[in-house]
Amino acid sequence: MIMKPNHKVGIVGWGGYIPKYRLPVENISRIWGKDAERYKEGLMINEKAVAGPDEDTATIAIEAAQNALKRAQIDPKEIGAVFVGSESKPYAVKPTGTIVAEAIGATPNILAADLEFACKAGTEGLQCCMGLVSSGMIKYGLAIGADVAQGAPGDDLEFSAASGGAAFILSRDSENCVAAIEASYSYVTDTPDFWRRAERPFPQHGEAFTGKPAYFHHIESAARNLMAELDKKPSDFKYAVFHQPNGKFPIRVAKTLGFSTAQIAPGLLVPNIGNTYSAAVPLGLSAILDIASPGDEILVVSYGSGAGSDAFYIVVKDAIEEKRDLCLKIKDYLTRRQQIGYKCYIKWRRHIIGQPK
Amino acid sequence: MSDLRVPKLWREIPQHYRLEASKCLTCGRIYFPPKTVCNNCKSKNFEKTLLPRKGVIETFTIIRQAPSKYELYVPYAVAVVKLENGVKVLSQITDCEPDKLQIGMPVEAVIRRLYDDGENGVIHYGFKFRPVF
Amino acid sequence: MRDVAIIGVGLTKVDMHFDKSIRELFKEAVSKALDDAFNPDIESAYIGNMAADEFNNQKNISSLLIDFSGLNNIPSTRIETGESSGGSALIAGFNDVASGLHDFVLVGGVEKMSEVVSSEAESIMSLGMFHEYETIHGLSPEGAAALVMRLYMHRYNVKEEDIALLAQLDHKNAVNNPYAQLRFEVTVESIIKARPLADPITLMHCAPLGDGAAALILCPMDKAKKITDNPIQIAGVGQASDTLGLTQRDDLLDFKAIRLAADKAYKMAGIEAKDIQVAEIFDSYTIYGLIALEELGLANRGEAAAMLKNGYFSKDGVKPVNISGGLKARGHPIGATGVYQSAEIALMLRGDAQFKLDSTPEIGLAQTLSGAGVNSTVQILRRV
Ligand SMILES: [Zn+2]
Repeated sequence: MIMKPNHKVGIVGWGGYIPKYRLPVENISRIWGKDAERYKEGLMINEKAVAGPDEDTATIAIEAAQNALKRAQIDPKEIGAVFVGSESKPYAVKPTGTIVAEAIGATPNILAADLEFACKAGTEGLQCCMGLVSSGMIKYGLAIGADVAQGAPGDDLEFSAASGGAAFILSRDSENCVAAIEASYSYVTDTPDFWRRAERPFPQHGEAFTGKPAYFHHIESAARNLMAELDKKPSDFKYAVFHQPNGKFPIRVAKTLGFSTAQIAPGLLVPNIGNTYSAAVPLGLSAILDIASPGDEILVVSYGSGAGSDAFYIVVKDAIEEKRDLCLKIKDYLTRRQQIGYKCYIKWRRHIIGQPK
Repeated sequence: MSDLRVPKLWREIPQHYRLEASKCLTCGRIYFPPKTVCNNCKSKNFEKTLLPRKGVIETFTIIRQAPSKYELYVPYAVAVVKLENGVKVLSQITDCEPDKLQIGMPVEAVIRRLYDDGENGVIHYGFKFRPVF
Repeated sequence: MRDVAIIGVGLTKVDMHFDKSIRELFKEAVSKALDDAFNPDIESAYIGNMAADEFNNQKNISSLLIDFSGLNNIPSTRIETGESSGGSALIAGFNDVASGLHDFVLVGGVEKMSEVVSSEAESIMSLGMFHEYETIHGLSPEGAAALVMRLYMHRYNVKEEDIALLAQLDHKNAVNNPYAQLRFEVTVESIIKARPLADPITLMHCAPLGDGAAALILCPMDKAKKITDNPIQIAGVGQASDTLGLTQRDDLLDFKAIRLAADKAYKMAGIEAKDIQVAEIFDSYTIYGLIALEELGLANRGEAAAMLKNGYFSKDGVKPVNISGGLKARGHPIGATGVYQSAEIALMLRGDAQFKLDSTPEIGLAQTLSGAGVNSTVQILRRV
């Protein structure tokens, strides 16, 4: 069912973060005796962003939130809720949201909660904030998608599982907003295509089963239903961003839905940073907002295994021009790049047996 | 047993996360970590102030033999950073190539894991600095 | 205030004494000092020790050590000011005698570090820094020294190899000290090419880990003169503290604690820096030794390395420094080091065969330091 807030809601600030380190596909395939070209072609991933040894979902979320705050230009004490969507929380029990809220100076009069829904927990935070700000329960809400994604050594996921984060501060629609979130649509079913059991370090997945009945079915359903409810067609949108576990899936789903390569290119970050899970769609949207113009319409569709999709209809507003340059942009983080080797990667991720934890 | 005294570091969160310092209302001197009596003028009138998050490296070292629990990060840089208001803080320099560090290099504050008390313990976060980019 | 004399000196060789307990090591130094002082009845004791809690799993060591030294039931107090603990213990003993409270006082220092592996020792030594603002950032003690050294090199345009000259001098002098831990000579090249610990500091810029105990017997000068022909007067003492955190000082290279401690000691002794004929300085890291020479007024700021180079501080130079081998080569059993230094100066002023100089000096200085200028003591001894 379409979710339309009674009071219009907008984004007052946005910001992303991508770690500096990159692990090229070749550095992984060489270790496991696999063909790099096949992965690069099959996944359309050249390299993935890797968190440094002192980074985790909390630190990534904090920098993304600090960037969003720089653009929002608000007193952090006025933020009434923070949601951190992630599947790689630093603690199994102990919230990440409190760490973020404390770091940005938003505590103590604030709601903090962590969300988990595989790769779509970040967009769920947007929906939570839409409800809270639209109803007037809070003035500003902070929604973050961040992950330091895990892939078991040797598994196909290891080629894509990456790190990054993006944050959005929402308020009721005003001149301070850079974009209005006109409507959202969620579509979920019980489809176990990818999971990680409690207390296990790495996720499992159903290989081809993650495709048609999972990723494609949910994204297509959410996108079509939202567009139908709003009487919109693909050509109405300047940009679209779909969840990007690899390069091929979002391109294929865009084609199926009737979107062009030009519409999705600015938000398609996966070839150079990999799949940042809960951060994938939020980072794609951040990259689009970094270059969007007032009046541009954007379709956003996330996907989380398990399974579900959240779709959003966003219209860019005038304030974007004056806020764009107030913090580092996605392209700045893409440019700040240091290549690492596999040995460094497994040491930092603490995968070496006997390594002090 | 945990090495970390949790309340001891929890208490420092305003300083470690947000660089909260104290400023003497009588002579204007800024203290980090905060003090409540001024070494300069002996006043006890203080207000809270946030330190600037940018500065330059005054001096630095590359730690190659680390205290236990910091081995994961070796080699890592530790520096004295002179902030824009002249206050100095000691910090790791993260996301840097140690061999390219120089005295005078501009750096900015970020929040990172400072100390990880084993796989069962708490994670303590706090500021580090990185080269401005 | 009464004049105070040193009438007994006892040293153990600094080494990895795997076969000796902290009790046994301490007793050895005390017995030697008592014999040297013709076995007076000791009335109270002050013992410098930094970290028996961590190295030896033992608190209350002041009672333990005195009991096992055969000194029953006397007041005994452990003194801890980090690495300068030995110097502070000596000042406490001095105060006790000078005030007239006690006549015969034992000042001891002991550290037994070889119970732990080097990484553990590293962590224990790190406890001397500001935990929430330095140690938590992964700073090591040699890292702190490296921060100071790089800034010193940058500001005064001094090269690493010139700073290394102090370590080379220490090693050369230690060859003749039977109590020294590292009795061999080294080249400057071997110092700067040694294993890097915290750039620009290599292993060879640092004092080694070791065990040692040292003891002194103090008494009023009038009594001393009746007991011995060569009493050594503690002519001046001074101590000063500074911020625990390096960054809380206006200038990292301003080791004010040394300067203030020295000013007090010089004033009490009625002398100036130029009157010092021989000195034991606290070079836990070579750079701290250079800074000490400057803060003590024995060298101008930024010029200590140049003076080392021209031989001013060599054994046959104008002002011999670290005849013992210094912390680098005599060794640095932390809480004992300050007591070693004063004991060695006392032996030099006595013209003792083991610390023989071409002409026996009359006035000598010993200086301790904790951390990167956190606390310092200065003791001035005079032959009477
Ligand atoms: Zn003041």
